[in-house]
Amino acid sequence: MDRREFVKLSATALALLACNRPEERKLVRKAEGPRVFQRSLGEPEYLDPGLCSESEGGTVIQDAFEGLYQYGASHKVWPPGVAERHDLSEDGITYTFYLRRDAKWSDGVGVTAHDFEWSWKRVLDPVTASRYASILWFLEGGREYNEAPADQAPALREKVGVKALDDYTLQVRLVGPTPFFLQLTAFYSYAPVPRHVIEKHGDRWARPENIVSNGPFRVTEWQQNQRIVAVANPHYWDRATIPFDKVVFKITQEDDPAHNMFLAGETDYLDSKVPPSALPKYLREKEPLLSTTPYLGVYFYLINIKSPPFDDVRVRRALNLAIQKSSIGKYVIKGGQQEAWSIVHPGLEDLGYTKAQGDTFDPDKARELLAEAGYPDGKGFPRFQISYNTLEGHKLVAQFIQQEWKKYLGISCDLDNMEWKVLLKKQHEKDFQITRFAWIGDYLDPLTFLELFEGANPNNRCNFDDPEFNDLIHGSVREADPVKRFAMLKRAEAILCEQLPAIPIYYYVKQDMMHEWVEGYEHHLQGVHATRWFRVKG
Amino acid sequence: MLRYVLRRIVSAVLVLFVVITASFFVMRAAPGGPFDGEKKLPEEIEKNIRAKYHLDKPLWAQYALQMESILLHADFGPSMKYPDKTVNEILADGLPVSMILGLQALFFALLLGLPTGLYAGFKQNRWQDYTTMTGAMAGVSIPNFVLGPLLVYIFSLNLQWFDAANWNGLEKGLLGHFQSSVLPSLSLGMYYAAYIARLSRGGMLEVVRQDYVRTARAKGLSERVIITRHTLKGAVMPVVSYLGPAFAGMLTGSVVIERIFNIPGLGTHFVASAFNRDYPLVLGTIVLYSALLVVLNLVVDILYTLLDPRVSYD
Repeated sequence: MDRREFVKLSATALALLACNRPEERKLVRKAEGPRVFQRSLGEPEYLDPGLCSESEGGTVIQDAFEGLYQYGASHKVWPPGVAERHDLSEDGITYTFYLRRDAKWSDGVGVTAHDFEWSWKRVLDPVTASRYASILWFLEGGREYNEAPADQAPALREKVGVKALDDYTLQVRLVGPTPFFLQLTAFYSYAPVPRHVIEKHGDRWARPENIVSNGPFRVTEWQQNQRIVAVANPHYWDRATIPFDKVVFKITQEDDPAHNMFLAGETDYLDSKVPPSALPKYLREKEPLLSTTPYLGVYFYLINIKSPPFDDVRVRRALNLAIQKSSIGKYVIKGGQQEAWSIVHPGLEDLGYTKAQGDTFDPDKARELLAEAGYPDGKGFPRFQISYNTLEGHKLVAQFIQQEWKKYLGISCDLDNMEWKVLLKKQHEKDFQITRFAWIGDYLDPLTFLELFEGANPNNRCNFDDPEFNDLIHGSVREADPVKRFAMLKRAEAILCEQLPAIPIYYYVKQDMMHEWVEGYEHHLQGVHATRWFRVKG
Repeated sequence: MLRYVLRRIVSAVLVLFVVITASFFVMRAAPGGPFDGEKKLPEEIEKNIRAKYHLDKPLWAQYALQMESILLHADFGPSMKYPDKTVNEILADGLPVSMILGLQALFFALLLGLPTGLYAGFKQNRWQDYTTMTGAMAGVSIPNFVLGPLLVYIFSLNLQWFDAANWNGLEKGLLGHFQSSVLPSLSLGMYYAAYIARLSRGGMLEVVRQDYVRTARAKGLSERVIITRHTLKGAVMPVVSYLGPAFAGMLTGSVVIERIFNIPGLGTHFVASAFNRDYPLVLGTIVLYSALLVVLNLVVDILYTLLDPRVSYD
């Protein structure tokens, strides 16, 4: 190669390296046409709606199955699914759903009210051992049946508040008025499952060669760690409005290959898998293909309130007051997360809920409280540990908070990172001082966050058991007046702000990327984006 | 020879037995279990799940059950993370992919490493030697998690010649297969190519100093004949003995490459199953990997006797 050739080649290489932003390259969509949609996904565990407990499986299930109601393009719309309409009794406890007669399974068999009754009881059946069964505890007798020892289960099964009055009428009795119940019927645990197929294939019914579903798509192929393919269900009642013949879920375990596939035009929609390393640049340069929206989750530090010195509420408040949380989204993890000072996600204010106001950043007050508790300038404060599971983002947050406490309060702590399963074990055994935790809401209501701190809740991990708080939570479940109900929940949230069994750190945001040929994406607070609402131009 | 092979097979079985036993107990000793999740399960339900997978039985009984199922039926049972798949199915899906990736990487490593190494050895201390060996040094030092993304960046995101990730198999034809497999094979094989280059250079240096090569020269044979007839076979010996460990290293070392390129091989499960505490899948991958290692080493030892008349196991 002569010198001129070498210079030319180097220049080309440099130019190629320089243009790494998607819009600066000519992007070719790699797909079989506008009626095929390609989206990213993590590896699901399995596709049985009754047993599913993670968002990856949930994403496929939302496309393949349909409950009484369904997820709309945004969280403000809940279109009817298998139910055509419903009646609600005056006390707000008994729903009667009238099912459409043209709803069919993908093998052509009709979907009936009996399918729903059987499916819901299957989720609650202790033998099924569904991890998400507690989301059906809103049904009368649901929890009792779900937690029943083997000898009492058959009797309790009959008492569960769901009954098919005939093939197309389903009666549901709830524990209390549950204003968000219609949304719940769209959640995958409430989806009907085909009894005739399950009885034939047993545990392996949800594999692609056996699966029968009642939603817009039917899964036909699943190659582990590669892809799931679903084709349009020919028997779906609303088939005419579905814009795709096929949806391909490209499965990756890591964000980077998913992001690379998106940049190469191999997927149309990158569902949350934007790598943290790419985010700061995208946010700084206002990347047009990136969408950042509030997401119904909160990141917090649980405090073991029985372990001194954290049993003193002044200490807990001091810790909370001394963190400049607004820096976290901007400078620490740099993902645009919003600072949190109380536990309920602010996105729920759209629904008429008014959040309780917690303390805000005030290092002087923090020092005062700490001095009152007997530790002026942090003197004599025992060294303690923050436990978190190994992940770059968690480490950055922990280091930041460690520095803030040192800087403003003069107290020192150690960072103790561990594998996720090890941390879970420690949390379940309440073997920690301060630990990282996060919660993604299951439904659009403040209760989804607040119930975590109710004394008997299996997910309450911080020894918090406040009688007034418990009464408010229990009372809210039976309160029919929505205004009074929200007031009770607000008071409960305020108690958490005063008692601080957990220090809220930030509210989640969801980062998605779509190519310019994708339409129909709207903000959904729960981050559910069913394929049917997308469109592909051209 | 036969006696030697038989002895090796018996010891291999013993090794596998120890591996299974050790991994079984070490795995159970790790804190946390397969069913610990973000949401805590009610007690009754947890009891039911544990009973389904025999986790309610005492440890020795679990061990006996597991051993019986492995030894008598070659069955590792259902995965705990992916309950509607069996471990055997998962391994059967992943193994061919890892094997093909490993073979392609090995082929590439030999194709690049062997000729350059031999050539460098032949041209010892000349500029050809220095440039190729500098290249080989770089190849050994650049980790594949740096090389992989770099290749993706240049050849798939910018030039768009190859796929950024995923594994096409033969579904899109041979061309489709290579589109998705060339970059991972290169990234996986580069280290080995460099290492093979260094080994074969060393082999060549040793051989060209041998008496029989001097004799050949004295006979007045041409350089071409000397290289092809007399030196080549001896010079590749160190490479042959390295092939077994190299291929085994590619299979187990593909863990990183499989993550970067999202390849559905065994490597992904090897790591993820341990984090998930998916006991049967952990055991399955460990046993499979150990069996591969044992077999590959045996094959290399046998191959050695065929290539080098000085080696004999009798």
